Amino acid sequence: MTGNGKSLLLAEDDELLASLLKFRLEKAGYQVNWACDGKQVKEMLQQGVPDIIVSDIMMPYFSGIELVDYLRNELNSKVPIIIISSAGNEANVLNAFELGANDFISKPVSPSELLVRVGRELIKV
Amino acid sequence: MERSLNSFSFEELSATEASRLQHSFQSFKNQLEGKFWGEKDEKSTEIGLADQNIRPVHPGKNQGELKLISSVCHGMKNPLEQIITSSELMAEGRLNKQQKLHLQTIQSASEGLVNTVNELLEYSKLAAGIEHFEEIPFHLKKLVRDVEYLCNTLILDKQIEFKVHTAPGIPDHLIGDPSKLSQILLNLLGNAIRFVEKGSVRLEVRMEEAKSRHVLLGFKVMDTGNGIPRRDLTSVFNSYQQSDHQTFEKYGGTGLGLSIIKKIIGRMSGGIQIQSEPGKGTALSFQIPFLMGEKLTATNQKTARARVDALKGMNVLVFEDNPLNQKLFLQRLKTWGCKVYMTENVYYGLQLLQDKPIDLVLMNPDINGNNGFALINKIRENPRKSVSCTPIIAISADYRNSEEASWRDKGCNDYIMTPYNPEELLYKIIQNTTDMQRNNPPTIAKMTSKLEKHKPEEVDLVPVLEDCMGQVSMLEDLIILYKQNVLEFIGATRIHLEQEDFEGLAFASHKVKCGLKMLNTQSLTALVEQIHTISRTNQDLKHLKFLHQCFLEEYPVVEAAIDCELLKLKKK
Repeated sequence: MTGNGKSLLLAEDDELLASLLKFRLEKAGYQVNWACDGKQVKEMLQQGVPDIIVSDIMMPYFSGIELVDYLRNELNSKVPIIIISSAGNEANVLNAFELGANDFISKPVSPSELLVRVGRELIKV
Repeated sequence: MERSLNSFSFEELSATEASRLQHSFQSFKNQLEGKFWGEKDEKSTEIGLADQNIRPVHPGKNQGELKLISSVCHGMKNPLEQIITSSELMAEGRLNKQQKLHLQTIQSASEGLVNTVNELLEYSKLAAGIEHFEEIPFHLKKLVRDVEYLCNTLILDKQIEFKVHTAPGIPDHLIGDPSKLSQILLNLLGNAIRFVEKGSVRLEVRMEEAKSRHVLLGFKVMDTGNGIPRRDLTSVFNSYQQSDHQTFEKYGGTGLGLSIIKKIIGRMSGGIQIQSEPGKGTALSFQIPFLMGEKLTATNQKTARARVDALKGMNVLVFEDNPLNQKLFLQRLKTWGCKVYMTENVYYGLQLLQDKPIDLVLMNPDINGNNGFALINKIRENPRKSVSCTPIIAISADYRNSEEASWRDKGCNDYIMTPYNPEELLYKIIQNTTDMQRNNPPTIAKMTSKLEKHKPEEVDLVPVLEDCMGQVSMLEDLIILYKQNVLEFIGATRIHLEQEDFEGLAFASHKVKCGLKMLNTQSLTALVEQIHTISRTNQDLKHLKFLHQCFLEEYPVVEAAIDCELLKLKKK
């Protein structure tokens, strides 16, 4: 099992995509918490920072950039963050990197590819 | 040559060895060229009128090579076109000084590349003897005036004097190939202007000889540039011959420039000579015979300046699906004062043709998977003359169709190959929107495929099932979510359309796009992408409502296909 029970926060407002990714991540052994908007993300983070975070660049009430900023600067957390980007948001991805994101994957997201990237980030830690 | 290379070492090279090596390389190169281009032209600077220095290569022998060159060149043209288009659009945005400089570099480098590729193409066509030379009436003074105008735009703020002198007594109306003549003049003058730092560039046109039906015209391009060293004069017309750096720079990157000119002039039964004095300047003279023609009607002749005004207020319908090209068309046509209707939807376009007074159709025949030709059929079949006689210009990168006849057979008045420069497009638009063109629409030689109303939609869910690791129940859940998304989209879009909320439309279409792509439902994705683009650009409400309607009609078909596929996968 690649996940080994590691906890993962999935911040994604597109239900369809989120369902598929959650399904695959759980199959791979991760413990997935799904937040579909910024409020839920904050609530979940208050309960504890997960082992890795996968977040969409754009969500209601919160953007991926704000999340990275919040984690790195306010929570001083080194948790690995992977950003899901979409067409037209390339500039924001660069911003996210500057603030401390670790990797990105663009839509349409291939679940297999995401699994590889998640695994890679966790090995580094 | 291999033998000499084997015993080769740079440091130990003596003068004699060096020259022997150089000689071997030279003869190797000549052999290669000989094999490639056929018999080599004689190296001479003075070519008499009767001399046909062009020996067209045996067609059979080099057709293969020609095809290879042709396809390589066209393979280069497509990415080049994209680079050029993108940089043009970038230039519109806000850039800092550094970025502007870099962009200029990209633009001039790409232009250089395009020129090189075009030169190579042209040279290969000339060498294979298949380049077409026109015999049409043209107005000499007007041609020279147009060339002069274009050259003046090249000069910009350079401190050089540019003068054109046409001797009196030359008949105005001639028969020949005006575009080739312009090409030669612009090439020679362009070179001169680019490389003269101070002083002048002069063009002289005079009559060398006059017979009963022919005249021999002489053209002289003089510049006060740096001149060409004597030893290079002999090789300046030869392809691939390297002269000193300056000469090389001036006469073409591939070294083909002047050799192409020479070939063209030769094919027109003319001759070209060069004289030069280093430090003083250069003079290129060429003579071409022309038949004398009759007076032309004034309707088709407009001066270069008036050309741009000719398009003011013209209604142009453009069929193009590439967003980059759409932007470029919009920009160009707008600067010329046209009103532009842009669509990639053939039905909407046909509707526009019925409702609006469209003066011209620009069409990319490859939209909707090559449906462009079927659309042209539909236009020409239309019972209303105002629709069926609309001039159509095809804009294509498909070089296989570079024969004019085949475009007319398909119903186009004219065609233009990408990449093209704006002047070309402008010229073609003017040429093809004359009354004569409107009254003589091309007839379609053979019917191309009929416009398909509804392609039976096939949805491939297998890759999605793979993503679900083979679990059909998971796939089912995803499909339920998909349908929910779509219904939400349809409802939200209806409200947004009523409220004319374009931002809402853009957001809704963006949101549903992801899900649509996940199940590979391409027809719906295409519609939604169009909705997204239009909501964010020209915000044409009518067009958006039309697309929404298309979506409503298309979705049940797709839904049925999805359910059908799901059942199949369940059974397995």
